[in-house]
Amino acid sequence: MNDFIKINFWVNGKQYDLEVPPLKPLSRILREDLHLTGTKEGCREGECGACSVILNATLINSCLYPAFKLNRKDIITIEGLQVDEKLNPIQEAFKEVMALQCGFCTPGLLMAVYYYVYILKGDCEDRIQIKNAIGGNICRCTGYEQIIQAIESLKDKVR
Amino acid sequence: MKKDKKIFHRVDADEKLRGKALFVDDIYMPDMLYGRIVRSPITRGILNKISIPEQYKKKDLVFVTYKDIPGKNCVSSVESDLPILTEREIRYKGQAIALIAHKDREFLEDVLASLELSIERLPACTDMVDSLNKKEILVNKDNIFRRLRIKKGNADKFLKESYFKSERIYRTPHQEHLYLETQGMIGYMENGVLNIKGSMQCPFYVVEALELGLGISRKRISVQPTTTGGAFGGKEDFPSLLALHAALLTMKAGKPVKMILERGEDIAFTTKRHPSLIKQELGFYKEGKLVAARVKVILDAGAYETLSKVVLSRSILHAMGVYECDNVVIDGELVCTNTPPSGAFRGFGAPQSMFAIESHIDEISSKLKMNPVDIRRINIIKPQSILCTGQNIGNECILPEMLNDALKETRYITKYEKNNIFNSKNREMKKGIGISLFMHGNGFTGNGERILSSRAGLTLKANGSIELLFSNIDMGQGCNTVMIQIASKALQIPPENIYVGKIDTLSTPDSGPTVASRTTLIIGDLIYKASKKLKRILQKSSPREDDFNKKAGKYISEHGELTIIEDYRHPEELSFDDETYQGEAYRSYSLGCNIAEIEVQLDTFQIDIRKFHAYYDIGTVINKPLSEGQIRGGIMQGIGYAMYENLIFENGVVRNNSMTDYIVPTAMDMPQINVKFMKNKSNYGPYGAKGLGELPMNGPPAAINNALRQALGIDFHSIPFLPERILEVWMKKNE
Repeated sequence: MNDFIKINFWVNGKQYDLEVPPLKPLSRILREDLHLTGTKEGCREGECGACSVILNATLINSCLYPAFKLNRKDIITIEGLQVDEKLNPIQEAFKEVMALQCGFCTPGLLMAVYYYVYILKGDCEDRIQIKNAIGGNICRCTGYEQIIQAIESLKDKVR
Repeated sequence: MKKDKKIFHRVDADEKLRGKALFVDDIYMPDMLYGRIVRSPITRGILNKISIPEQYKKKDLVFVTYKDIPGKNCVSSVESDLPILTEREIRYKGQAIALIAHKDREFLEDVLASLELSIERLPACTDMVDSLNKKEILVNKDNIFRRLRIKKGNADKFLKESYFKSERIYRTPHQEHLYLETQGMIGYMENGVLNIKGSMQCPFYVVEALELGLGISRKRISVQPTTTGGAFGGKEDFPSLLALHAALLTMKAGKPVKMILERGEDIAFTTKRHPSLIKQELGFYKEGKLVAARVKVILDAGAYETLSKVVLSRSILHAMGVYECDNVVIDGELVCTNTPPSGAFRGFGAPQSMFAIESHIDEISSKLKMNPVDIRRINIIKPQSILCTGQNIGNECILPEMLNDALKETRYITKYEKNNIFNSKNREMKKGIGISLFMHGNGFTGNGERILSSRAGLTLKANGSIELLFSNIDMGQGCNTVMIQIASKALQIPPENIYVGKIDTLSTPDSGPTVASRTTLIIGDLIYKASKKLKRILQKSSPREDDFNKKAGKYISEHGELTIIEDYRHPEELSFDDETYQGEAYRSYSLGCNIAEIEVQLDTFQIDIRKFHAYYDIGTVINKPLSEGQIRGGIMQGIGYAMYENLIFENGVVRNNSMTDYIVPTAMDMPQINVKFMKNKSNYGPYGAKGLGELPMNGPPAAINNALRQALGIDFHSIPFLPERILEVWMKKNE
């Protein structure tokens, strides 16, 4: 376990060279080595979705993604969502309808919504598909309704 | 509350949406060590010795046992009986025995796996019934920590004379909070002051615990809550223990120590909702009037009593639900078992009571050949009703009106009748509609608020802005936003000029714990009063000036900054006797009505909630989107409690302590919920507001149970309604 491997990867458009243990999960690399603590760990078994990030245009649980698979991968985290310090339309929508409470699941949820809206080009009017899209993200505070409303409100704001 | 309907956005929205909000695990300190808890591997026994194998002894391992505790070895609480670290006696599996810290987390895992413990095992009682039957004696003579009683009229006499009697026993299990952020604390010393940063609801509870356990003055303790990732009661009492652990390690190590619980550890060993066993004997007159009740509420406190007495007290005070009854005797018992101590969870004893009484009344209606609505109409509290404590509910009780609105708007009666016809014809699927009425007493019980004597206020800063001073935590419910809103309205200045001061127990006034649906009600009122006082002072200093900024500028240039702290004053007309449980148990009661429309497929026995209607009286609604968020989140936890959440204890240990195996509702499980707020104004609370946070937890289990009764014709006396359990009851009925 004391062997380190060299990896080279991109996070939010920035390139990183690191030496890390091969089994260190991406969530810990982001949080501890890169000090990008917006990505949260809620269960460390891929169940809660708080650690969701985009990796090569796919939504993944970063707590289950080991360092040895990370070479040359491109990652977007919550810190990469806003351009020029301005909130992006998803964040604005969450703010507008108060689709957040404690805020711990929020970064992971935003990544899941980003994936659904921008990468999958998902339908923002289909509640069942929306619920599916955030089905892997557990929120214990809101009851989800305001989150769904935030996504619905995006129908004219993105594309 | 404002005419222009301006939305007050969450003040913490931006930092949370950007991932910039700092939760405790996001904080890194140079030279920081990680701390872990050495836990008991057995359920009950005597610890003789603990030792570290030779090969680990050096290597900078920090090791703490009870011998390192400088103060009293107990965690301060209502009953301070939980030890910080056990000396000899072990009462539950997972109880803290010792602490270790090191800079390398992997190394700590190795140490934990190889510690040498010499423990003598003793037989245990891990179930309430075993404890009540005195299978083993754990505490006192009979395993009962405490008994409480409420008495009114003559229940024995009127039960005997009643036309119809019904006796039922209800059981509810543990419930896990499953806040998304697990418990965590960081401790470090700075200039002789102990600093504790972490996830918590009650910073001054933590201060009290540190003072007692470490034997140092609170002037040398600074507790600074971090952004708290959900709590729901779970971070009311447990953080005191974890803060003590972090403090002991950092004081011995001379370095910062971070302790973050793993999810499995958090589910298995932190506090849970009290399991309950509720026996009810209800007597009725012929026309359906409830005339007498004998109720016994038994709560499983777990291995130590801690704060359970006040949970029991709320349980018995809510035992009669929303029903008026002249002859009542309610007994409460707290029983000890060899399980982790139970603790606070949204509702605090009331959800158990509400499930029992609302299910029972509904069941009786069919026995009396009455409609579920009619039996309620006869018995519910109305303006001027007298509760079991002798308290007059006053004129603000709008329950009859709420019931009427809910029935009319949901077309309950029509649907109820249509379902009966549908069910008589259909063999694959059954439909049900169920109602529950419920309430929640606002703020601390009885004299609690008088004893807390909360203090809160504000400072007019040199730059003309207003800093609000209080120590309640915005753990997601939105209290920081609400307080700014209240101050903004009272001062008639824009919310942008107001901010909430960072909490540090060395300087922030003690406004009490963030619990009991009390923050808007009690602290909001203190902020309101402080704002009004500031307005008066500024008005006096420049009577002819209208502009706030100019008035403030003039005052500051003449006198400098101004801090106003308001002290809580208990309303004189309210009194409560802690011995006899007579008097005003709560200043006001929030009310609710839930109606669940369900379908049950007879091949899966899965309940499908088609619609859920939710009516509330929380007095004046200060912030509608925030209130709706509280309601919807509370309903979700209530639905989870009723249908999914099944914490499995085996020999005193949680077996399904992971997010994979402890099932809570996801977005895909949530039904359409219609939320409606009734128009009402409370005599207490800022702008007529009442408490909100816990209320929505009290309604869903009974509403779903009562819908299930219509759908399948079965009577459930326990939760959760898992498909396999529904099948079991269904099979028995159709044998």
